[in-house]
Amino acid sequence: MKTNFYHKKIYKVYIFIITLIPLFFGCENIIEGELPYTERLVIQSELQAGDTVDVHISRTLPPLGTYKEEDARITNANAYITCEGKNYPLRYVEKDFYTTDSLIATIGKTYELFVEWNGKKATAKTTIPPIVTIDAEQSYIKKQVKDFGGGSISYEYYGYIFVLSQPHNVFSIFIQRDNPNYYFSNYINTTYYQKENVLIEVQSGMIFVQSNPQEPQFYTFIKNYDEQYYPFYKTFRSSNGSITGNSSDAPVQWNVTGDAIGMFIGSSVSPAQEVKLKQ
Amino acid sequence: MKKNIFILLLFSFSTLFSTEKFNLQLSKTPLREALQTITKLSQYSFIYGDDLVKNFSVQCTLENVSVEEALQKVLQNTPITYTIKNETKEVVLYQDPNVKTILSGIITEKKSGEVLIGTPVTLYNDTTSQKPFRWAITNKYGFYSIPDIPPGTYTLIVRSLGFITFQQEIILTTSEMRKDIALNENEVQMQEVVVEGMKENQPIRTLSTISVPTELVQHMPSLGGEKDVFRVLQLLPGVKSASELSSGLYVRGGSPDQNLVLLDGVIVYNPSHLGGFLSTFNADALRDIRLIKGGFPAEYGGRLSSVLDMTMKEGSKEKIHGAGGINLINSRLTLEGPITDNMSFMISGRRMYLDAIFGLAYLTGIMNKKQYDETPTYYFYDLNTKLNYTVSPSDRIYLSGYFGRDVLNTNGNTKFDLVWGNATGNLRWTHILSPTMFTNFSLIYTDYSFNSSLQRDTTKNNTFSSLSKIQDIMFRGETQYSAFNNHLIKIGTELTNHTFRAATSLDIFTQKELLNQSQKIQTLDGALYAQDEWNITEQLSTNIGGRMYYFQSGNYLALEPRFSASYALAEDLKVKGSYSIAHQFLHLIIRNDITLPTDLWFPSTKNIIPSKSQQWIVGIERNFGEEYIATVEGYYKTMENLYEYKDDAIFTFGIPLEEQFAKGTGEAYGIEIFFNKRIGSFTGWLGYTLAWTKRTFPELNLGRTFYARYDRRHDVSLVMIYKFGESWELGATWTYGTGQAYTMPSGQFQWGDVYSSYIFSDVIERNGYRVPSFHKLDLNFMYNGTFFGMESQLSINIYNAYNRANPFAVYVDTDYYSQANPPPKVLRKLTIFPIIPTFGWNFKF
Repeated sequence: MKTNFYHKKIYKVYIFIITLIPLFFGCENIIEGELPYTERLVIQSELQAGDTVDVHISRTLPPLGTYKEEDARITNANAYITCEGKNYPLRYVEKDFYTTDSLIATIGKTYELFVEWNGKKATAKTTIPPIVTIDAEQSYIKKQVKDFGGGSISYEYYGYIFVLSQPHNVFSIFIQRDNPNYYFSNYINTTYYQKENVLIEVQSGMIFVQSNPQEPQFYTFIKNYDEQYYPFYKTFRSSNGSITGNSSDAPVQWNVTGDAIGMFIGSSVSPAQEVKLKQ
Repeated sequence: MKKNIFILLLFSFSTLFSTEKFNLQLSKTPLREALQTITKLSQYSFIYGDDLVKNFSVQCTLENVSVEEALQKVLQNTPITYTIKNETKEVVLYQDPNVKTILSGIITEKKSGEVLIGTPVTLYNDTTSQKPFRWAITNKYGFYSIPDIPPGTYTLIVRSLGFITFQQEIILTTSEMRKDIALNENEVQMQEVVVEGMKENQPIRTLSTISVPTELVQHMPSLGGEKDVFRVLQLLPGVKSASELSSGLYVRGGSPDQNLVLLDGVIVYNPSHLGGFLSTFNADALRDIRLIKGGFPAEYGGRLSSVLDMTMKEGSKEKIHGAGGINLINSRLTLEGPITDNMSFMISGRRMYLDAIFGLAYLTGIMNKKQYDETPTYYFYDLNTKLNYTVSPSDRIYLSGYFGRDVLNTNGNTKFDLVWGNATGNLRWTHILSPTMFTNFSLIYTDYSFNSSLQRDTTKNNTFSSLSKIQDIMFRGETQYSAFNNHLIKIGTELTNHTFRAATSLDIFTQKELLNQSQKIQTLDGALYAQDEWNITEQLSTNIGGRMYYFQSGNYLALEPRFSASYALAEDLKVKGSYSIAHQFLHLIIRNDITLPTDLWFPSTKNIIPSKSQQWIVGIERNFGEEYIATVEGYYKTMENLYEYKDDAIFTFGIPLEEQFAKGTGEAYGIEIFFNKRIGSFTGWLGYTLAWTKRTFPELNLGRTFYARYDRRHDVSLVMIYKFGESWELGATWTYGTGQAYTMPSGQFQWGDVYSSYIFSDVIERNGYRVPSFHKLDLNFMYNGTFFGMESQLSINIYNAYNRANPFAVYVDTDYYSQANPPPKVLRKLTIFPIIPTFGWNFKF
């Protein structure tokens, strides 16, 4: 965003200016130091409707030093998932990957996770949300052409997607061109978090081309999350988007509790539906 | 002195043979002699005390009058009344309990004619009295009023540090007396920080109030030689700084925007240059600096935490003279003097010349052209002016103004133009309505603006302009009424029209174009207040008041009770307490702890509820003779409806700013200890603060309470000024503070999906980490002498004398120079100022 760019630049110039004074006095020191370390389990699992339930289990490493994946791996965690009163043990497969082998995430069902390792415990609970679809008739794509001269033309696509949502649905919209390597998606935000049946604008960003390409076809699908995903999304995004570029500004709202961080979150994905390009 | 007395007695026939009627002619006759004459004529004898009649004389001619008629005439200008006993032919004289008089006037400096603020004016029954009979304190205009005084003879004493004590026997009769006094400067200057109410024989006015003499500022060590008022205030207990670079005041857990900063009664919205490096106030232009750290009386309002009330010099009435200073950062010059017998002026300017220094570096080859072109240009300047006109002994008109600007621009690939500053003007009329009633009326204009434009390249898509502006037009009226023996009542009103403008654009506009397109919020802000400084008994003093607000935007009505009291347990020992509620309708929404010029002032609206604080203070103070003072104060403050940007705030054009603010609460409490040596060749103080400052925002830190960035558990400041000989002085300050609260990770982890994953920091607590403690010693050697025919002070400042590597910032960084893959994260501590000796020259002419 240009405004973020603006703030970053102001901040940098500001810091530069105030640093000019000490520079003028000829002094600046950088000294190494230490930080306290709290070891926590790291749980990552998305229970997508129709897929096998798998979980990644690792641990945090000290805040300073090199992050080595193999040091963070946990291969001997005692972990299982319960659903409708039945336990499904998690079997270690490789790296940090554990699987239930046979448990399939089902819409409407609630799953609970229990992990124990080296005296540390983690628990989490999620429900697989229903599929959220779109009204393809009311949805459309618009193209904006910008000619910068000298044969430099950009195309920007705007998707106006009418989502048949319910209050508290937390979802992302994905618009895919016929080229499977290219899709664009929106961000989850509060604008439609509380609303029912909303029209959402999705912007593609600029695509610079030298000539007018063949008009593509667009397909849209919706990924709907367990409601717990929203606070995580907001805090995780903000903690990594500060103007100072520091990625450690704020704690993240995880849904895994105990001596752990992470997300154990249910989701469902709608079938792809074609959306027409509006001339 | 014996006066020449002429008495002519004419005895008529009837007078000789009758005691009923007689003639009497008196010419400047002492009352005692007049009464003796009447006794001879009437055969009535008088019973009275010698003290009752000794100060009065009589002049009158009476024909064929009775005793009673004669007494009415003779005693008419005295507070003496009588009872006649015809049976015994006796007249008993006694003082009329209903007759009282008023002593009032203005206290000034004899040399300059400047009024003296906060000076105690004390009446004693006689020169041997230990306890004052009555007293008053001069207000901001030097005015005092002592009402309700029984006529008689008193000793009037006016004392102000740095001035020869004025002492005079005065006789008060029934008529009111105007007594303007000009104090002579003392040859031996003494320095002190005055904790109000702690001077001997001075009543308690407000708790937690500290007056800093502007002279003191000149004696303190400084960075780069520029004496800064705010940096002196930061050495007081309960006042903290955000960082070594910042002159922002964090008073008792409040952020800088919670301080009401007044310059000659005008609100200054941005009191700092260069993002807080220096305050905007030129110490040469100031006459009075007063900081109220909490529990402020009802006459102040609109901010949650503190009041910094500064008064500019009026300008010498004696002759035109000036003062100036040259140091490494900037230069300044002040001129003041009379225009006519009734009019004087003061003008004071200051300019920073970092831009000129870079220019010099380029000209001398230290910087090449590319470096010079790419170096941002920065400078600031400020100008204080004041004109004061004495219309009559009871009327004065003041016109004061302040104008300050910071300018920052670059000419590299990214072009920046940032200009921000304040302009203020105040037209004030003070009028002494009666000996007990003082009024002042002000018409105030304030203009704060921040303008920016950015052009990253030649395309219009990479440009940005913004404008933020506050314009206030304010009327303030106040009446001070010395109602009775023990009441000083102030009633006032403030009516302000605020105009806020904010605009952002993705195109480069001129500021005029941007102003035309800006979003405008206009709102009225009204306040009405009343307070009574009431000395209930000799031991118990109170200040009871209330303030009522109306803020149009959002339609808010707020009431604020204010109460403070002091009780003298012994002559030198007092306990104090206060309770106050304060509201704030203008909010500075900050991005982080550094006060960037981009921080936004935003008014209360329907969605932005006014901030509110409640504060309780208890304290004890003890005088150890005149030389030492010690105070201990404890405070507890709660704050509601505080605003910060959300962690995920979006600054995209078109998204309402109000949606980007997080609302929360705050809590601050602590104990402050202050020990002050006030007079002598060695002066100074030791201050210690133990404090906690917490914030709770549902949308920050997962709703958990966290420490504010400027929370500092322990804070110590030691200030010493030592004068050795006539010419040399040493100023020294040593400060210690617990490290600031920072947000730091307590681990790192990998997060992602099958396609990509990244290493992130695991943050458990906002501001949960403490940087190493801060301490440093600053020294200032001053030599007073004459250079180039001017009275001068040469100063050598040594900043950070023992070269402590204090942390300015601590952050986690990736060490890309490392051979490891992925590169390791390291903690870096940035230290800015090592030992820095600088030289400065201040002069007067």
